[in-house]
Amino acid sequence: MINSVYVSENIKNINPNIKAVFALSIILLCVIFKEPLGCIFAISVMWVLIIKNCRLSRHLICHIVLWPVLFIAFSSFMVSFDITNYRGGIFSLKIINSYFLTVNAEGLKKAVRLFFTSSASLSSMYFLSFTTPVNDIVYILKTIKCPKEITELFMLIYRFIFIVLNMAQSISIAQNCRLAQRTFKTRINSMALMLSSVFVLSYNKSLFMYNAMLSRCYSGYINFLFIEYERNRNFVFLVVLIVFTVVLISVLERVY
Amino acid sequence: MTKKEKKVFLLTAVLCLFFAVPQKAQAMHIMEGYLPPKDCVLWFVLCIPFIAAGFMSLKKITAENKKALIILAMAGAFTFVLSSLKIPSVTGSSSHPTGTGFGAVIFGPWVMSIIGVIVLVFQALLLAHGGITTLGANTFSMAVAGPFVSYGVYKLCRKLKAGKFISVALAAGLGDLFTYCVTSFQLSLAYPSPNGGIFMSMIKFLAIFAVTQIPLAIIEGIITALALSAIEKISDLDFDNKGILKREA
Repeated sequence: MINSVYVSENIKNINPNIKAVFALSIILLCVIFKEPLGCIFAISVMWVLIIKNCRLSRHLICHIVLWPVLFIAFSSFMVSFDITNYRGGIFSLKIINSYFLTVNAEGLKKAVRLFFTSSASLSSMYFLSFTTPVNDIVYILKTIKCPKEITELFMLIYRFIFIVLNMAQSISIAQNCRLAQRTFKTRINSMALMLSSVFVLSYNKSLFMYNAMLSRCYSGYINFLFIEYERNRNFVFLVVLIVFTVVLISVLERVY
Repeated sequence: MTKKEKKVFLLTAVLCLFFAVPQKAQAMHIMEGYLPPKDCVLWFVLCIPFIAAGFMSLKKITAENKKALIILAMAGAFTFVLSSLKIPSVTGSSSHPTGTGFGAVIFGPWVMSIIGVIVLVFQALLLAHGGITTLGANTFSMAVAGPFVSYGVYKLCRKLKAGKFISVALAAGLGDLFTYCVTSFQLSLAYPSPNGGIFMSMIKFLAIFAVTQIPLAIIEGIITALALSAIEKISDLDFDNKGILKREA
């Protein structure tokens, strides 16, 4: 998962609020302007920042980027299709009675814009995910005065994800060793059995955890500890510069 | 169009169907940056009443019973893991359950809306499924519409004296199908057909998603029902009327 990637201290210690504002403003600008050149600039900058600050293997990049990008590409292509009652456009194919599946130039243009917008937004999202651990997200939630019940639930769910995932993987390996994935029927059955076992085990674990927390003076409120974050002026300057450049490129592209 | 062009077009259309339908963990999420700004705002606003009611419900439950927060957190983690597991699909590909029907039947739809939002944030941050600008739309389809339909169907079936297995299977399956219909509507609202408008666009999206979503909904219904009946067999938990949370109060 994204969360297990090594991140350099330089960017890790920067105040998470600045990183979140940066990523979100780039996403919003790309979604509002939808200009391909502005989006390409955003994609390039985000990936330079990610590769420079995070230790990513080629395999991981392919694994986490390839499928979402393919998904975006073909979903965008899907938008360019239209159902009409006349022949026309670049392609047209009769489907039923007098209805045709058509692709026209306008639709393709829309698909290209959508592909770049979505890819740029995804890159910004990756920047936030890679450089901001979940503890820092909790810090952001505290800053925006998110109710403590939700903040606590957020942190606890994150802790439990790894416990539940580990259980599910162990049971799945054990089932595979016993040829439980051999036929469609056994696959369905073993999936249901695995889910039920994981649910009961995780339910029991949650009760044990509650007892453990009670023995450590849990009174219904969890205290979070945060490190001292830096307000790196150079990074703030870089953020302002990138945001300004994206706006400038997008406006110029729209005008000309 | 010549025969060769038709062949190329058909091949492209098949490829498009193959990749555009949920295959590798994308399920029914709308990707980051996919919706126009007005749609992002619209779906965020539509979610607010449900999230507010869910928050009030969560606050009430946790005030009455401190243990409930831990159990709900485990339920959230379970939903996250459930939605990242591959389930066998008859179309040859594997896809992922939404898990909302499971949660709605056990914990009720209001709490599931809050858990659903948190799970969607984690899916966006840790798996890059969905996103922040599309969080409102994804929340509405997966954490509001799906769970409410599942819960409603479950309660209706139980009132009509249907068996637990059938009730759960129908609830999870129909909840999944409704999620897919809502997502198709959201996409058609954002990208209406220039000639046929929202209706034609919705037909297009429904037809594309139907290839894997209908068999998947049936399979998810069966798996959820099998899992819940197995849970009742191996433990003494009762799911009617949110029995788990009541039992621990």
